[in-house]
This record gives sequence, C-alpha cells and structure tokens, in this order.
Amino acid sequence: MSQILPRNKLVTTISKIKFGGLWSVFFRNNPIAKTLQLILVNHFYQMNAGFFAFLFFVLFGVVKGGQLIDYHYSLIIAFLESPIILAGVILAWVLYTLKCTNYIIKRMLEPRQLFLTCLNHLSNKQLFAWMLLTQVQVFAPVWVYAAIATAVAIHLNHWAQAGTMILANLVLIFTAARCYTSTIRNHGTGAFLGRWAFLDKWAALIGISWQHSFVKPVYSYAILHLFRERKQMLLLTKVFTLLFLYGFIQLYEPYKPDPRPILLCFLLIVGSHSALIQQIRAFEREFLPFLRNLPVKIPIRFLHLLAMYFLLFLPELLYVWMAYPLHFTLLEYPQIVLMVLALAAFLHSILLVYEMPSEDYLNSVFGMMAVLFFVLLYNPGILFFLLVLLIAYVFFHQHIYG
Amino acid sequence: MLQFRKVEKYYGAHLALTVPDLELQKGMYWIQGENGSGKTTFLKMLAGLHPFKGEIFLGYEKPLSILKDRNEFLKKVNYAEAEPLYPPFLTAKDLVELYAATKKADIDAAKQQLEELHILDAYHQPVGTYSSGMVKKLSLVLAFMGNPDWILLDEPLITIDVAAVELVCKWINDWHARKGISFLISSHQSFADGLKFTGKLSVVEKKLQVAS
Repeated sequence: MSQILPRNKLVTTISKIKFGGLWSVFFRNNPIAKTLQLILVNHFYQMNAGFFAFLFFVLFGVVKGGQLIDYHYSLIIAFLESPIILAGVILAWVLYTLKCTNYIIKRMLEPRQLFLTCLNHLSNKQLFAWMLLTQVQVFAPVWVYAAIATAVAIHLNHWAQAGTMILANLVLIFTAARCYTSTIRNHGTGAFLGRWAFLDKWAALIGISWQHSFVKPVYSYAILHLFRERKQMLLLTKVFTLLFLYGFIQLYEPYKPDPRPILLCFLLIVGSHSALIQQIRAFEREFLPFLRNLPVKIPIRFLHLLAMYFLLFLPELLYVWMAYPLHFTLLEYPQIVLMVLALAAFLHSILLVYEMPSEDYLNSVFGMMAVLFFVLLYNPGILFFLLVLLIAYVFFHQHIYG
Repeated sequence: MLQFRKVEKYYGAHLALTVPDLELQKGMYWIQGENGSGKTTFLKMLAGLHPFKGEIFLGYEKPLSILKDRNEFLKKVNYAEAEPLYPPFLTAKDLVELYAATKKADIDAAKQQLEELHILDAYHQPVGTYSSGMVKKLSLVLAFMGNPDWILLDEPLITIDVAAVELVCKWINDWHARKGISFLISSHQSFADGLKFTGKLSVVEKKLQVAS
C-alpha cells in the first residue's frame, strides 16, 4: 500500500483538511478515499470473490437472460407482499452487514494497517463521513438491490414496505459506519481486540459491555466455535433445514395431528447436522481436554451436552411451532425435542467412543437414519427416545472412564 | 498420599506406560524421562484426562478412588499442561470463573496471581490474542486455584520469562511449606536451587520408577 500511496502523503493531506463539509468525502483523487478503497473496500471484494460469484449465480445465473427481469420482479413482489419473506430478506441484509463489519474491523486492527490511526486527526464528522463512504461501498450489493425494490414498491404503492427497506438500509449503514469510527478512535487501546471485536462494537452502541459482564457457559463453547470457525457450514445447514421445515409445513396438511411426519422431518434435520456434530467433536478433542480435570459430575456433563444441542437446534425447535396445532399436539412437542436431543447426543457419543474417519461416520449416520425411518413410521413413542438417550449416556460415561 | 495399583495405559493395543504398585507420600517430586517416555501420559492419567487400567487412590484414612470418587478426587488434584490450549474466544475471566465455580476457588486470589505475573490487564481479552507465554502463565494460575492436595505441573517453566520462573518457583515453595500441598513436576530444565524436591521419579522403558 505504501508503494502506491505514501503514508506521509496521506498524513499531510489529512492535516491540510481544514473544512468540515461532507462534500470533501466525494472529492476525486482524494488520498483518503483511495487509501480506504484499496485497503478496505477492494480487499473485501477480493477476499469474498467466491461468495459474490455464488451470489451472482443465484441471482442472475439460474434463469435465462430473457426471463431475468420477470424473475427479479417476481422475487421483489414476493417480499413486498409477504411480511415474513420481507423479514427474511432484512435478516439476510443484517447478516451481510455483520459480515462486512467483522471483516472491516479485523482489517483495520491488523498491525500493517496501524497507519490508519492517522485518520484520528480528522474531526468526528469527517471521520464518520469517510467510514460512511466505506460502508456504502462494501454494502453496495444490498443497497443497490434494495433501491430497485424500493422503486418497485413505490410504483405499486407499497409505501410501508418501501419505508421499511429504506429505514433498514440507513440503520445498517450508519451503525456499521459508527462501529468503524469507534475502531479508529480506539485503535491500540486493546479494548476491541479479537475476532469478536465487531460484536463488541455493536453491543457497545446499545450500552452493553458483554466482555466484562457475560461469562460464557460451558455448553455454549462449541456453538461459539461454530459461529467463529464454521460460519458458512452453520449458515448453509440452518438455511437448508429451515427452508425444508418451511416447505413441509406449507405443503403438507394432515387431516388430524400426527407426529410421525414431523418426526421424520426432524430425523432429516438431525442428519443434516451430522457434519456439524463432527466439527463439534473435533473442537472438543482439540480445545477442551482441560475440562476433564474439572470436578463436574458426569450427569451434569451430559446435561451440558444436551443443553449445547438444544441451543444448536433451537431455531428449528422454535420454528416448528408454526406447524402447531395442525401437525402435532401440545403433548407431542416434548417427544420432538427429546428425539432431537437423543439423536444428536447419540451421534456425538459414538464419536466419543469410536474415532472414525468422516466417510465411516457419514455411512453410520446414513445407516442410522435408514433404520430410524422405519422405526418412526410405527410412532415408537417417548420411551424409545429415552432408550436412545440412555445408550448415548452409557457411551458418554464409557468415554470418561475408558 | 497417592497410591497406584496395577496402573497401565494402552493406546489401542500399544502399552504406553506401566506404573507399578507405588505409594507417594506428600512432598515435591520431579519426574524425569526422555521425550515421549510417558511423563505427560502419567500426569494426564492422574489428572483424569486419560482413562487407564488399574486404580489410583488419594488420601490416608478414607482414600478417594479416581474411579469411584472421581469428582472428589479431581477437587484435590489440579493440573497444568505443558502446552495449554484453550478455545481462542474465551477470556481469562471466563476460565477463572469456570475454575472458581467448579473447584470452589477464590477469584480474587487468582486475579492477584495474574497481576503478579503481569497479565491481569488482559483479563477481559480473548485468549486467542495472548502470546504463548501469557497462555502458559494463565494455565499455571488456574492450576493453583481451589484447595488441591496435589498440583501436577507439566513443564511449568517453558515459554515463560525469567521473572515468572522465579515467581512460580516461589509459589511452589510457599504453597508446599504453608499449605502442605504436594507437587508432581515434569521438566527437562534444571531448577537449580529454586526447588527442594522430596524425591525424583523417572520413566524408563515405559515404566515409572522411583529414582531417589
């Protein structure tokens, strides 16, 4: 970077800025604009080229050229006319904002980018304006699409949806810019180090200092690991399972509540998480051996395991209430929860006792699902899943004592 | 007192370590042996990290069994690994509070030790941002938490600075003299006059022996 734009030139330019107007942000050939674009914006797009290629394919590659406008018009109409889909779209924008914020803050905190602290010479308004410009650039895929959707919404007199989209974009862009400003101002204090720095920023904006007040419970460790190291795998799994559950609930209407179809759905959902369960076990093996020296009773350790899987499957276990009371009764819900926990604990426990290659493990999962498919058709009841849970506990116990 | 009864550790069909019937009275012991001889395996078995064949007891009148009284046993045996590894997103605060809750330990005492080792400033920072020396110091402080009868230290002096070496040796001597806590320490480094050992153990040809 220093070869392209000497840092002293950047510092000199900053020191020369006497005016406070936002118009300077858009000044062409401005060294600050160039520096931020090269270091933060361009690098963001380069590092996420695969992600954008995939996104581009999904949005523009799956239909023929002639149908492209109709396809996107239909998509936009879908989320303009369904508040649930619109909420899902805004959630996707929030996730993208988290991705941007995470990346930009980490990049700013890299030792090689220490010279960015020279931006502290700027006034608060000027610094915020530059950070705003940075966020507008990395957020472009969202706001450009949102702008088109807003135009369609206004054209069709969907004023509330148009307002919601404009507000969501403004809040996300301004909040992210505020986080970047804070990062530059606090650079070198060590206050926001670490990979979760961006979450600290977001929490600090609403007055929460969670690093100081929140002690992470043991059963959250593996989930935090997935959020940190296996984000894409986690996201894809959750998107798949929730879409699957959504499709099932929308398309299948039973005459009377029968838990078997929904149990079969959850069998597939647990099976879809088998790779994540393997990742959790690998994480435990690498980072958590020290827990075995702690005097925690084995039933409590097993409860921690169940609590962890309850957290992992919480989105599906909450979403399935959309199927109530058509697909299951109130008394059948505990059976669904128990089945999910028992199967997840069982898969985890066999990995504790038998450390097998991925292929063997996935074959075992497939075999288990095939057997359980037929068992579930006979609605084996809650006792069967208690038995599975008991077997998982025996494996768990055996692992501790050898 | 620690009693070992027919203790054997296998990795699959491979015998990794044998401990003969042995009784270790309270004291400070130095475990020596070549790389890969089984020192760490021995300490991990004793700390409950590795399952094994046989039985280990702790205490005199009503000895605690590592198999039958595992929970009580682990309250009395603390362990610091040679190369500690913690989830990088956890902070020292998370770990200290976890150990305090399970080992019934005093958080302020642990913070005092962290301050003496000059790492209290990083108390709220994720361990992933620590240097290897800082992680090692943290693991040593965690090993001193609670009310242990035995503290097992695997290569306690590696990666830490000279001042920290002196401080850790001082803690070991003080805790042994004042609180009667016993230590099992594996190290390739010489302690010079830093520690006065009751005895030495060595692992030779996969067998633990009392050297002196």
